[in-house]
Amino acid sequence: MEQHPTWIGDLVNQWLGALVLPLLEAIGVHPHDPARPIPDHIATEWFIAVLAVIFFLWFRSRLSADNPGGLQLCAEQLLSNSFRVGLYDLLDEIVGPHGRQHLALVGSVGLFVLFCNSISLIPGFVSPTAHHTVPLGSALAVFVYYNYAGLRAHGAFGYGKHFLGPVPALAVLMLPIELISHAARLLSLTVRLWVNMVVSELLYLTFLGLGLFAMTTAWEVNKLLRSVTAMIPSVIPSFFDGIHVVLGSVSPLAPLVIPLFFVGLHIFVAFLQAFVFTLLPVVYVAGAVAEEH
Amino acid sequence: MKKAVLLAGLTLVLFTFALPAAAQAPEAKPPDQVAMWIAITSGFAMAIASAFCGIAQAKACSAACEGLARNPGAAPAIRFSLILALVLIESLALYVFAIVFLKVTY
Repeated sequence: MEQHPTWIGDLVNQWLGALVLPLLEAIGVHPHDPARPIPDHIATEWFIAVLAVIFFLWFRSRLSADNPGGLQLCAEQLLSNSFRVGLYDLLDEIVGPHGRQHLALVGSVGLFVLFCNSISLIPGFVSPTAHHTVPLGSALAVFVYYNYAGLRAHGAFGYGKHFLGPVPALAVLMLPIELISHAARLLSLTVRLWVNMVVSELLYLTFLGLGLFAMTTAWEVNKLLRSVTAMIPSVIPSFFDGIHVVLGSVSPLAPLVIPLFFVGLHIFVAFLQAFVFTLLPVVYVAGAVAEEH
Repeated sequence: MKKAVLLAGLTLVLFTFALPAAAQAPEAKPPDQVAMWIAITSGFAMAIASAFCGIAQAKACSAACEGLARNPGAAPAIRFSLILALVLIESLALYVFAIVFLKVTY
C-alpha cells in the first residue's frame, strides 16, 4: 500500500540518509528513491524507540519510594493494578514463582507495540505496526526469547523433551505437530497485530475522509438551510429569530460525528492488541519454563 | 563505559540490517481473468470467515454472560478470559483478511 510521506520520514532521511545509503548498497539493497533510503515506518519506529529510551532513562532518575510523584503512581499501575492485568500480576499468575525475571522482554515489547499502535492517532504519523515487517520483528524477538528461556531453564535435552509430548509412545506423532504449532505461534502473533492495525487504521481514515468530504458538501446545504429557516414566520419572534444562524453554524459539523466512533474503535483496538501482544508472550514463556510435577 | 559503546554499536548495526526487510521485488500482475476470480473467491472466503467468527464470538460472549450472572464474584477472571477468547477468535477471521489484502489487485 502506498504510504504518504511523513514529516518524520523526511527528517530522518535528511539526517541519516547519507550515512545509511552506502551501508545498504554494500549489502546489495537498492532503495527505490536514493534520496529517501529509510522507509517511513522504519523512521517512525526509530523515533519511538529513541524517544522511549530517553524518556524512561529520565524517568528512572526521578523514581523515589518515599515521595512518588503522579507519573510514578501511574507507571506503577502498569505493573500491578486492581484489574489484575499489570505485568507483575500476569507474570506471577501465569509463569509462577520466578516469573518476574522475564519482565525485561515482556515489558519492553509490550510498551513498544503500544506506542507504535497509538502513534497513528497523532495526525502526521503512520503506525509502524501497519507495515508487515514491524510486527514480524517483534514476534521474532518474542519467539527467540521464549525458546532461549526454555533452553536456559531445562537445558537442550530437557527442552527438546517438551516437544515429544506426555507419552513416549506418541513422540513420533507429537514432534512434527509441536514444531508446526510453535512456528504457527510466530505467524499468528505477526498477522494478528499487523492486520488489526491495518484494518482499524483503514476504517478510521476512510470515515474521517468521508466526513471531511461531507462537511465541504454541507457548506452548500448550509446556505440553503439558512435561506429556508429565515422564512419561518415570527409567531414567537424572540425564540425563532436567530435559528437560521444557529442551524447554519452547526450543520456543516454534523458529518464529523460519525468518524468519532471509528477513532474510538481505533484507540480500543490499539490498546487491546498491545495487551494481547504482552499476554501471549507471557503464556509462551510459561509453557517453555514450566516444571513438570 | 565500554559496555555502553558496544551496545550502541550493536544497536546501530541492527537498525541498519533492519532496512533490507523493506525492499521487495515487485510481483508480476496476474492476468485479468485470474485477478477477477481471485477477487470473487476472496469475497466469499471473507464472508464465510466473518460468519463463523461471529457465531464463535457469540457463543463465547453468551457463556461469559451466564457465568457472570451466576457468580458475580468471579467477574475479573471471567472478563479476562472473555477478552482473550474474543481476540483469539477475531484473529482467525483476520487471517482471511490478510489474504484479501495481499492478493486482491482487481
